[in-house]
Amino acid sequence: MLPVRQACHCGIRPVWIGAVHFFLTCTVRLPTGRDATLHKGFSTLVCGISALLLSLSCNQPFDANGPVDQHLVVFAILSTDRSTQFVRVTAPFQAIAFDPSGKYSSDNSVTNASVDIRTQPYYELGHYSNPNYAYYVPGRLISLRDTVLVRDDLNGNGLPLHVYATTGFTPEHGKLYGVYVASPAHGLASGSVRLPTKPTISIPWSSIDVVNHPPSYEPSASINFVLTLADSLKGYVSRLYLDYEVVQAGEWVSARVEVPISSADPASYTLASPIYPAITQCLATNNLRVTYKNGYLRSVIRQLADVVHGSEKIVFDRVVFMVLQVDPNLYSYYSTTQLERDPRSIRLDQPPVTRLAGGGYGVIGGYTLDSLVYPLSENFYANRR
Amino acid sequence: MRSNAPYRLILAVAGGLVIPSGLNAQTCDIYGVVTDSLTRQRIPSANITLLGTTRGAASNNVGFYIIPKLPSGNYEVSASVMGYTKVTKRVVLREGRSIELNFELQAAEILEREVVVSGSRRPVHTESAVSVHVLDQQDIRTIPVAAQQDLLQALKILPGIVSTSDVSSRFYVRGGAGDQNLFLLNGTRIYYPFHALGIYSVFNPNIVENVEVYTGAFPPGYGGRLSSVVNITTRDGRADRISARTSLNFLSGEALLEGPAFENSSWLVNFRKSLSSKTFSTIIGQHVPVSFYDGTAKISFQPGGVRKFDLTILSSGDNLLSSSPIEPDYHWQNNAFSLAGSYLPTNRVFVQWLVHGSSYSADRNAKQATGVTSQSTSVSHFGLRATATAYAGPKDQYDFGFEFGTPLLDFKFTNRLGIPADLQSSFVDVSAWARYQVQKERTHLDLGIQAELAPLLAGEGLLNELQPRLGLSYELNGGWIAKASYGRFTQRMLTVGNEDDVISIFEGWIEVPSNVPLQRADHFIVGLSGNVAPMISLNAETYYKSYGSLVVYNWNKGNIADPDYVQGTGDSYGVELVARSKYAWMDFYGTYTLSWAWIKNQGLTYSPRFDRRHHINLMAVARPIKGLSATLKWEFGSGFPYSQSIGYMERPSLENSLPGRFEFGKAEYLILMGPKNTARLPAYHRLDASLAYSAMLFGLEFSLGIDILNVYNNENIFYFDRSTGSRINMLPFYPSVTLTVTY
Repeated sequence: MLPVRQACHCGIRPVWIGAVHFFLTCTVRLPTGRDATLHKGFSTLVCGISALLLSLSCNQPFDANGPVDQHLVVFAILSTDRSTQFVRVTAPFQAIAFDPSGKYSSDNSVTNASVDIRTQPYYELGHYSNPNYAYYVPGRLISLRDTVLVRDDLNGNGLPLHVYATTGFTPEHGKLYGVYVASPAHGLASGSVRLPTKPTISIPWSSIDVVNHPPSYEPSASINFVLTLADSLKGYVSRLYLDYEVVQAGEWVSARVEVPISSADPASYTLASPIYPAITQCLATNNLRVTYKNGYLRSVIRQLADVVHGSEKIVFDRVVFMVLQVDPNLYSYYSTTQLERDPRSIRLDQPPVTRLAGGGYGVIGGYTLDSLVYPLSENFYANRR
Repeated sequence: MRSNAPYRLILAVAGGLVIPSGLNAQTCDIYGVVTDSLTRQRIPSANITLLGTTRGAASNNVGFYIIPKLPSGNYEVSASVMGYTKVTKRVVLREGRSIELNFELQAAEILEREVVVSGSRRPVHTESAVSVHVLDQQDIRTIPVAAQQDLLQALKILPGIVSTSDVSSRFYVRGGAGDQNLFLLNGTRIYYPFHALGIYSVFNPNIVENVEVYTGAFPPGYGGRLSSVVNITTRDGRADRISARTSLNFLSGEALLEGPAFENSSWLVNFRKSLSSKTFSTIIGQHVPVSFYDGTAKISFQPGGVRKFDLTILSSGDNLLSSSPIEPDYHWQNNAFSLAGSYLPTNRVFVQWLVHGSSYSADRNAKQATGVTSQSTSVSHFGLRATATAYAGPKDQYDFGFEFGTPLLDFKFTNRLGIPADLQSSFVDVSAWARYQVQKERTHLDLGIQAELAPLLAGEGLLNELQPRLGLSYELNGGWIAKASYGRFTQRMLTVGNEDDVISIFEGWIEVPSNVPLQRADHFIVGLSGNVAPMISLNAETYYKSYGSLVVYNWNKGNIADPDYVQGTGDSYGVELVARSKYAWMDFYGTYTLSWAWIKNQGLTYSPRFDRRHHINLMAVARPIKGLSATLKWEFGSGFPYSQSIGYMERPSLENSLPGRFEFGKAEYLILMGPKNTARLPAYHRLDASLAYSAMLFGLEFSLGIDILNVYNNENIFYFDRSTGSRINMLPFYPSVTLTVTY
């Protein structure tokens, strides 16, 4: 923390006040008699006021930093696509020399916290082969363990990450989960997240034929996917992948590539400056149609078969259309990360930080991941065995 | 020239007028114009008095006056104004026959070399009206500035006007944002009157006759802005001979030429050009490659009687071009013209009309800069305005008028996703107004209404668009005047930009988004003015400004479908004191403002960054001998609001990392801010001094001026760079010299 203090000029200010007095009294032709007395009094009054105000305003300390906030910073995103869940718990910190990524800075990981995920009790239909029988599923308390992980991103201070983790727990669609973090030094932070319900995904026959026989169709031919998303959803993103296998060093290796939905030059369907879908706000309806163009699918296949793996055996296995639904908390957090800020100004807008119950920062959210997989024919035109 | 049908027709169209009964009764009027005997320039704010009676009048902005409804008889009529010798004439009024009586006043300093002209002409209406200030060229020249006098910089000495920077002419009036100020040059709207970085405005003081500044509750005829009106009237060129004036300082050079054109006409041309951006660099502490120019031309024609026609043209341009590929380039330009006329088409009805056009364009070329994108904006506004003043009686008059304009706004930008967008809008701006002013013994009533017809015709709220403008003053014992005023105002254009930017070089104009109501403010003002001592006059006002609707940022915007702006509200209130004193060869001027401003945005109430709690201006001007003047000005302002940093946090950026292990992916360090604008920067204070001496040599008038800003080199904070921890201060001790030669 570097307090910045205004330089003091108290020593020289009386000199200037004297100069003002000199100006008022000497540079003007002095009247005589009563006027002279009035004149002297007036100039003394002006100087007195000036001196008083100058001395009042002298030496005002200035520190751009306030006391460091001690609330918890919690990032917890529960998802249906993995059985290991992480909760990252830190606290705000003050940077040395205004460089938060400097080697002397710390991300203030909170290591002695208690972190729990609680599942809500619920009733489930269909027990003992009786579709009308509802049985009670009690809530569970899952305590997460303090774990140290290496960062994927080596930018910044490079310190290892302290996270809290649990294995063998896969959240489910439509269920409510509570995340509770308690730290002796930083208090409590908590939040709850209800994961979106399962969406429905389908692909019309006309699009299936385009996927099976891309060269038979014009680049502008559409590959449509029809979605019915969860009710009351805030945001979603859909992606189209192409799964393939390629022989590398004598071994078949599986790989996946994403098909762009557009590009900077949409008329040419080239892969220069491709555009991939981003998380999008759900508006009036949750029934959607997502359209890809055959031209991009063909470009991706050509790129893989002719350029990237031009002399290698390659087999295209399937296309995978994936739908990721984000809950409102995660959507709000995503929204805040997309805003612009002016890094130069002291009078910045309020930075976009989502808050948690208890005053903490971060997000307790979740997403669901669902896919429609369409296997490609063994005789797919671009296969090279 | 009077009482003919075409004029009556125009008059009727101009205001849909209902001429008050009795205007054409068989009574006598004395009317005419007041001009400078040498230069033939019209003189506004001159006092015309019927000696031995209580009747009189003041000349208006084009020097016209009328004393209506006089009984027949012999009269002695005098005309006087500060800086000129008084002239008295005798007239004989016969029943039913009005007399045109024109006055030609001689400037006092030409007539009597011993007389030192001092003080300023003040229109009469400033005494009974609230929140209006009038400055003339002499006032502007008095105030010390960096390198050269500037009109908008000079306004900062007025109460209620706050500037957040030494190097910007931009100002904020009574808690209102910068785009809530209306700038008029001879009636033409100027949308961005600032030169590069704002040290100068595009209004050269050499061409200014006077400037009226309304800081609240402005009268009918002014609309479309919520906070203030700066109404600049340019002077005419000399009609007696050709005159030249040239001036050179560290920053710019300029030349002014004026003279007679053909019979009863004059012209004036002024051109200013930046000479070196080195001075800018010294002033703001970093190299900024700036160049600018501005030019104004005016032709005035007085064919006879009270008629007058003026053609004014303004052009200005700025370039801020950096040789660095990572620094954006800026360019902007203003062009404007106005053609104005005034005449007396019928008894006691004075008409002024104006055809005006203005265009402003600006662009920002981001080049390879990060954090900014390329943008361009333009506004073109052409319009017609007509006003009619009907002098109904000795102390009552009606004003009617209308204005028709067609602003065309265009804002092109590339958003952060690299997607270009073009926001175009145009609308018809039609307003009409009526005003009645009457003096009944000690009470002066000013009742008016402004109707913004375009939104009204489109079916929008009646209450918003019929805007009352009310004023009341009452003369108390001892010469004190108590006054009160109220007005409602709407605004349908705004600039886009970050309200928290330290300096806004580029601002695009847009129409108020369709999802937000028009911006609206109500002004309530009460005041008291009088003399607290024989030598000291005081004007005190307290105001409350309620923003019923403001366009504010949508802080919850996270998606392209979310609106950029939402409706907010706000209010501001305060007390302003102005004291003036004249003693011997010295003039003293002091103001104190105590004010609060608040903006309410989506549940959060905060002070805007230009909210200043205490603001003091003290100025002393001495003219001990002829040709020499010296000024000391001291300004104190309590600190502006800012948000404190309360730490950093590491925040996963979530860029394309879903699905995936976003917890371990790319993260950014984010400054956590305390409650918005709840902390205050250190107080600002600065002492400026200037000394000017002029003398005649070889038939030329030489004037040498020395200005010293920040005499005691106080470190006033400009901004604080959180990314580096460095503090940037405003102007340090800064001397400048200006040499002016006038023929």
